[in-house]
Amino acid sequence: VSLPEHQPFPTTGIRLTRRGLLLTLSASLVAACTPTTPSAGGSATAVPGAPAPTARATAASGANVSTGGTLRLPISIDPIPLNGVISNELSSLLVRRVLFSYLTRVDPATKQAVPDLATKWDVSADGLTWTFTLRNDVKWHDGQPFSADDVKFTFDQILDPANSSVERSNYLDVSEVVAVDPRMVRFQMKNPLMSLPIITGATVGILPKHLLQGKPLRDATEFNNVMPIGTGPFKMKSITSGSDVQLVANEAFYRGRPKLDAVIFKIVPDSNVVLAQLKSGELDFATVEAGDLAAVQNDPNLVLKEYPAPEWWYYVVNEKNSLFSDKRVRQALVYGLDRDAILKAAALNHGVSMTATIPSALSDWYDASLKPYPFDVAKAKSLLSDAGWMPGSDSVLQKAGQKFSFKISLDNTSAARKQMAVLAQQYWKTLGLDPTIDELSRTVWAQNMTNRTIDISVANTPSSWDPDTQRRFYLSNAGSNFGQYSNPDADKLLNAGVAETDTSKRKSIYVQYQQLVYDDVNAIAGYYPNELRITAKKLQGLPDLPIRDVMTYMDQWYFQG
Amino acid sequence: VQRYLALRLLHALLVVWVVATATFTLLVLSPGGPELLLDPSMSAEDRATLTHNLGLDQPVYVQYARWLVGVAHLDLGRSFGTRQPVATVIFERLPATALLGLASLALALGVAVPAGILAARRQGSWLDRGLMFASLVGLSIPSFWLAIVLILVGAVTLRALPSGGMVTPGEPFSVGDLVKHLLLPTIVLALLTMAELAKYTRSSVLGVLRRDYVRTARGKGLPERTILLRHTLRNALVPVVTVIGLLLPRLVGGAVVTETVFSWPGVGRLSVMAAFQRDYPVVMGVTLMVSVVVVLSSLLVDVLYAYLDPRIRLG
Repeated sequence: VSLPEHQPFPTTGIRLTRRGLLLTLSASLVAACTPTTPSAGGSATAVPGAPAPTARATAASGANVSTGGTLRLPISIDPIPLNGVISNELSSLLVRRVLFSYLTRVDPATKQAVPDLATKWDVSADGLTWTFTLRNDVKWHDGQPFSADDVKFTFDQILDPANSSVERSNYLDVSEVVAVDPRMVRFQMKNPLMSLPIITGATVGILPKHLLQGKPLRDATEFNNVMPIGTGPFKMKSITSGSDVQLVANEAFYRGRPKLDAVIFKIVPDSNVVLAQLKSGELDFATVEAGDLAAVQNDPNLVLKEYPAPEWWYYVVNEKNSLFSDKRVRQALVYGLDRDAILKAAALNHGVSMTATIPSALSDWYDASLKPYPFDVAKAKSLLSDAGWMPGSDSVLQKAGQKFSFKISLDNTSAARKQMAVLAQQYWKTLGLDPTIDELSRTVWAQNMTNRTIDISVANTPSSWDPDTQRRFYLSNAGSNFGQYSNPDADKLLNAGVAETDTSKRKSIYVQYQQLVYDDVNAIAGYYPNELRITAKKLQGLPDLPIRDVMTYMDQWYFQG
Repeated sequence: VQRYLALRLLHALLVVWVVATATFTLLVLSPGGPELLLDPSMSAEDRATLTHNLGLDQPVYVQYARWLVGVAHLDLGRSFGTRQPVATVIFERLPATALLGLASLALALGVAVPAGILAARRQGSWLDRGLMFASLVGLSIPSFWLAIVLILVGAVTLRALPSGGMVTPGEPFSVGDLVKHLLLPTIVLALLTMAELAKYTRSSVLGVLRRDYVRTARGKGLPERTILLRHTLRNALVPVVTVIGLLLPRLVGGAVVTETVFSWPGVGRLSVMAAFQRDYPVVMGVTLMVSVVVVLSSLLVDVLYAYLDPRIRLG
C-alpha cells in the first residue's frame, strides 16, 4: 500500500489560516505565561496544536533563538530491551543513540571517528594496544560520576560468552579491557583492529557499572525495559508499550544542555502513516523510501535532504554452487544487467551504480577510479560461452547436461528488493539463463541465508564507516559471508587492511582489495543508495549523516521560526 | 442448570486446549524461526547459547509439555524479545483494545439497531433501500483503505484529528484528547459490525412483524409504538444478541488492521508483531486468551438466550 503519487486533497486555504491563528495565539499565551513558568525541564508543549511555542516565543523576543521544543520522530516497534549489549534492533538502537554515549562518534565531514566520551586515543606501533583517554566531566543520569570502570564493565559484558551478546562478533580480536586509571582505558588486542574507534562509536553505548554489576543482563529488568540510565543528551522519562517513549533534556550533559527540551519517539508501525504524520505536522523527522518520496516531496512545511548512505544493494551469489564458481560466469551476470534501469526502478535514481563492495559514501576509502560494469549483452554471452555454457534445444544454456537454472531469493518486505529481483530475472533470461524468483517471508529468507542454501539472493548491507566491515562479509568462512566467497588474495588484503597502522598504506591496501573483488565479482553489483531524510522545515542543526549517526548530534538540533 | 454449566465449561476447556495445541503445532511446523536467532552477525556459538537459554534446544514434545504445565500454573512464559512475562505484555495492551472495541461496539449498536428497525418498519421505502445500500457499501469497504482515507482527510487535510496513537504523548492526559484519538479508529472498526448488525436487525424485525401475535396485537387496536416495543423487539433481538456475542472476542483480540494503521497500542498489533518476529510465547498467549474469551462469550450468549426467550431451556 502506498499513497497516491500526487496529493489527492487540496491542502491550502484552511490550514494556512488555522496555523496562522494558532501561531499568534500560542505566542501570546506563552509570552503571558513566561515570567511564572520555570524555564528548566521545559513544559514546552502546554498549548495543544502548537508543537514548539517556547521556541517561537523566544524567537519572537529575539533572545536565544534555539532553546526549547519537543521533537517527535517515529520508530516502528517497542524499543525494548534498551541495552546495547543484548539488542541491535533498529528501534531500540535509535533511542539508545540519545540515551547513552559512545567512546567516539562520526565526524560529518571526514566520516572519521572523533571524540565523544573519549577525548583522544592512541594505538601502539604493533597495533596490539589501544589507549583511550576519557572525559572527566561526565555524569550518569542518576548523578553518579562516569569512569573507566564503566567502559571496562561494558566490554566485559560483551565479551562474556554467557551473555551471548549481539556485539560480541565485533570484538573477537579484543583480549582484555583494562581500566588503567579512572580516566584511561586500555584495550589489549589478540590481533590488530584498526577499525576499533569507528566500531566502538557505532555499536555500543557505555553502560553504568554501578547499576548493572552482578545483575542478570538479559532479563526484563527495570534498567532494560523501563528506566535505562545513560550519559547521553536526553534521559528517560517514560515508556508506554505500543505508544511512545519520552525523553527529556539532560541538564547536566557534558557538552552543555541540549537545545531541545524533550524528545518523543512515537511508535508508528505503518509507513503510510509516518508519511501522513509528517504532512500533518505530528512528526518532525523521518527517513523514507524512494517510492514514498512523491507523497511528501512538495509539502511546503517539509524539507528533503539526501546524502550517500554507507550501504550497498546487490545480489549475493553462492560461489560454492557449481553454476557460479567460474569468475567469467559471475562477470557475465554483471554485464548482463542494465544497472541504470535497476537503479531507476528500485531507487528512483536516488543513488549511484555500484562498483566494488565498499560503498562510495566511505569516500576516503572508495576507489573512484573503478567504473561500473557497462550493460553489454554481447560481452556477457561470450563470457558464458567461454565458460562452456552452450544453448540447448530449449535455448536455455547447458553444460555437461546441466541446465543453467537457479533461484533468485528475496524476502517479501521491500518493494525495492522486489524490483531488483524481477528486473534481474528478465535480463538474465535474455542471456539464455533460467532464473526463477523465490519470494520468502523474512524469517525464512534469513534462515536460508544463514544456512547458505541460496543460489542468488537480493540483499542490502549497511557498512560501518570503516572498510573493515568487508572482512565480515568476504573473508573466507566469515560469519556473514553468505555467498561463501573465498579468495586467498582477498583474505590477505583484508587481514592486512585491518592490521595496518599507517593510514595511507591502509588506503592503498583497500584500493587493491576493491580492484581485486571488482574483477573477481565477490557480489553481483547493484547500487549505492542515498538516504532520504524528511524533516519539518523548522527543525535545524542536523549534520548530513545517516540516521544512526545523526542521532549522536541530537544535542545540537533545534527548532527555529 | 449447574450440570449444564459444568458440562459446557468442560467442553470449553477442551476447545481451548485443541486451539492451543493446533497453534503450537503450526508454530513448530512453520519455516523460519524466532527473529532473535536469525541475526546474521551472531556467531554459531552465541546462537547456540541463546537457543539454549530460550529452551528451544529441547525436543518439541518437551517444549509443549513445559508450556502446558506453565499454563496450568497460570504462567504463560516470557516474551523472547523483551523477556517480560507474556501475561504482563498482554495486560498492558488489553485496556487499549477493550476501549476501542467497546467504543466501536457501542457506535455500531447505536446506529445499526435503530437503522435496522427503521428499515424494517418502512420495508421497501427509499429509506429502507438507502439504508441497505449503505450497509452493503459498509460491508465492502476494505478497512485499511478507509483508515488511510480518514487519516488523509481528518489529520492531513483538515488537521482536526490526530492520525494515530491513543493520546498525544508529552501532554497531560485529558478525556477530550482521548476521544479525539478514539474517533477515527472507532469509525473504521465499527463500520463492518454496523453494516452486519443493521442487516440482521432488519431481517429479524421483519420476521417478527409477520407473526400472528403481532397481527393480533394490531387487531386489538394497540398503538404501533406498543406493538414495536413490547411485542416485536424482545423477540426480534434474540438473534441480534447472538451476533453481538460472536463479536465480543474482538474486544480482547483486537482489530489487527485498524490497530496497526492507527498506531493503536492494542493486543491486535501485539499479536501481529509477535507473529512476524516468531515470538512463540506471545503468539501462544494471545491465542490462548482469545480462545478463552470466544468460548466464554458463546456460553454467555446461550445463557442470555434462555433469559430472553423462556421457550429455550438450558440442559
